[in-house]
Amino acid sequence: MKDTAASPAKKTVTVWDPVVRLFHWLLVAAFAAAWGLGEWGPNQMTWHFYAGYAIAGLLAVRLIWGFVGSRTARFSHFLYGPKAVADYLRHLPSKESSGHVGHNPLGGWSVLVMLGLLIVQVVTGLTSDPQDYINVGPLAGSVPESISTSWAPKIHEFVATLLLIVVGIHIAAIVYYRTWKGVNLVKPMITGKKEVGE
Amino acid sequence: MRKPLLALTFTLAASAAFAQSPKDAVEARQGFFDLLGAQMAVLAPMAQGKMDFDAAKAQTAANNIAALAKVDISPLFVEGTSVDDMMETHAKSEIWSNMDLFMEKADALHQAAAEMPDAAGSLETLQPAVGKLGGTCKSCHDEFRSK
Repeated sequence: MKDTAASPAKKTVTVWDPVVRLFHWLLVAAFAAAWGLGEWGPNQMTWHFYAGYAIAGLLAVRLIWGFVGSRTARFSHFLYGPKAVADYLRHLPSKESSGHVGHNPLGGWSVLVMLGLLIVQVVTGLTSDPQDYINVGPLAGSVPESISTSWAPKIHEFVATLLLIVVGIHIAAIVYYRTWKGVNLVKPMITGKKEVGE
Repeated sequence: MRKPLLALTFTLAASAAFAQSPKDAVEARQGFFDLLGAQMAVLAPMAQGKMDFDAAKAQTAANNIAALAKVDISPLFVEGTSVDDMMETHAKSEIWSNMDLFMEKADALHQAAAEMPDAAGSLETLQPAVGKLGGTCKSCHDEFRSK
C-alpha cells in the first residue's frame, strides 16, 4: 500500500482512532437516512425517528470521546485560536498540504459547528409536535406548546437546510484537498493511517 | 329592565346570521380541526401503546372522525383568511394559490377517515389506520400549515 521504498522520506502515522472513524461513517449513514426520510420518507416517520435516535447516541459518544479519546479526537487538540485559523486561511490557496495530522484549525471549528447543529437538530426533533398525532417527538409534552408546535419544528426545518449546506462545504473541502493539494482525506478516515513527511 | 339585554341578544344573533367575518370563518374551521384532534387524542395513544386499547372508546372516536370528515368545510376557507392576512390562523396563502392540491389533501383525509369505523374493532387494524390518517394530517400540514 505505502511505497516506503520509493519515498523513504515519508512515514505512516495513525491519524484517526477507530472510534472516530466508526463515528464518522455511522454518522454519514444515519444523517443521510434522517435527512432523506425527513424530506421524502413516508408520512409515518418512524424510521426518521430511529435515525435521529441513532444520531443522538453517536453524538453522545463523540462528545465524551472529545475529552477522553485519542489525541486527534480531543477538543483540546483540534480547537485552535484565532491566529492559527488566520494562518491556516492564508495558507489555504497554496498547493501544498497544510500538513496537519488531525483536524486543521478551520476544520476543527467546522467539526464543532456540525456537532452543535446536530445537537440542535436532535433537541428540536425530540420536542417537535407537528400536530398530526403520529409524529410527535417523545419530549414534545415536556416543553411549552409554543415551543413544541412552533419554534421546535421551525428550527428543525431551518437547521436541516443549514446542515445540508455545511455537509456540502465539508465535501467541497475534501474535493479541494484532493484536486488542488493532492491530498486524499477520505482514505485516512477509512484506514486511520496517514502518510506524512519526515 | 331586561328588555335592552333581550334586544341585544337578538341583535347579536341576527348579525351573526347575516355576515360571517373572516375571524368567524377561521374560528369555525379551527373548531373543526380541534374536534378532529380530540378524536385523534383518543386513538393515537392507543395505537402507539401509550394507553390500553378500549374497543368502545375507539369505536366512538372512529365513528366521530368518519362523521366529521363528511362535513365540507371548504366554504370556511374564504379569501383573505391566510396567515398573511391575519394573526389568528396558520393557513398558508398556498391554500388559495394551489387549491387543487389542497383539495387533494382533503380527499386523502376523507378517505382515511371513512376507513376508521371498520378499523376500530381491534388494535391490529386500528394501528395502520391511525398511521394512515395521521399521515394525511402531516402531508397537508407540510404544505399548507405555517408553524
